[in-house]
Amino acid sequence: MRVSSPIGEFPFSVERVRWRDGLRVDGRLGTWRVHVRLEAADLRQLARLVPPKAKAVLAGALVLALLLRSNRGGPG
Amino acid sequence: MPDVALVGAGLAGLAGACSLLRRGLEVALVDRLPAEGGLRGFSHPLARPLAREARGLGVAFALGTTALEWSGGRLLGVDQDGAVSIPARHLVLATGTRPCTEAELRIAGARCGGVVPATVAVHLVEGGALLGMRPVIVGLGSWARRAARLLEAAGAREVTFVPNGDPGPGEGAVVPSRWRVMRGARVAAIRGGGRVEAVEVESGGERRWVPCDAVVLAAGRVPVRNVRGALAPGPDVTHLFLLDEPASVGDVRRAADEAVARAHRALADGRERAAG
Repeated sequence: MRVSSPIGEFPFSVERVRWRDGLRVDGRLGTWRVHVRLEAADLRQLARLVPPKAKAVLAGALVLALLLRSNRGGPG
Repeated sequence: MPDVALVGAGLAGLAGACSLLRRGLEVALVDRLPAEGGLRGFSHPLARPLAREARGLGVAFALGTTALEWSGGRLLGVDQDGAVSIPARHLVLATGTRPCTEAELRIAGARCGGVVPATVAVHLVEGGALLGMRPVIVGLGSWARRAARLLEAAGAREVTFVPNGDPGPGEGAVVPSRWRVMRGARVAAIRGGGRVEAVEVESGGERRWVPCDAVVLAAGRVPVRNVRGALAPGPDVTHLFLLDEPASVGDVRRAADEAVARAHRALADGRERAAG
């Protein structure tokens, strides 16, 4: 991942994603430790901003993952 | 303890570090930005191979560290966790260059809004700001031409270049015919109230006012020297600045090797003094 800013473009690497008072992403911007916290309102806003086609793809992937999971956990 | 603390991990700093490491010296490479490449960025085609080589040769990176002062054989600075002190026998300063200011270009008149250095103009325009529709660009070098291209892409209609002694693009570089270049001219003064309205252009002993709504200062190239105790070269300080825009890694290496040879001599002299 890359982040562009007025002071330049930097590599961004995600090291951990967890749920703590919202979705918290820990990572590094170059050598700097950074944290991104997305609260419920941010996630709602993000969902609104995602284009419909991407929403359909994400929904399809979610359904597929749930189906695979239920098949794996079933009898036999 | 590293032999050399090198401030600036842009092209010059990276090439300098490689050259020092190849001479068997240990190098701590410090930069205020959290990635190598300087203002050109970590993915710049000239920065990538140099950074890879420096890593391979064993440079000790201290990125995201702002160097503040060189004093008593120590480089003092701050990083994300607080104060840092890097002991070293020699300091190489490779903190980059900037265009000349109005004062350095001997431009008189008002200090009004809309007059910005090219390095700032590029950031503003890339961030979506439209600096002006009829900008005057002082200079004709790589900073000037990059700013002009970005300003045009942002909507500027009429771009005028006043070289102010800038040699301009080298052989093979293209200057589009739509650009108005006032060859041999210089901006002598700026007029405006809250915002710039015109520049006074001097050419062949004559002066005239050229209306404009922005002025981009892109002429000349001077070192950025912002580490206290290292403003001038000395027995334990070497300056490494690229005063011409490099076209290839070879250009950067040549400039770096020259400075590194000076640093190497200074280190040898220092050892002799200590031994004597």
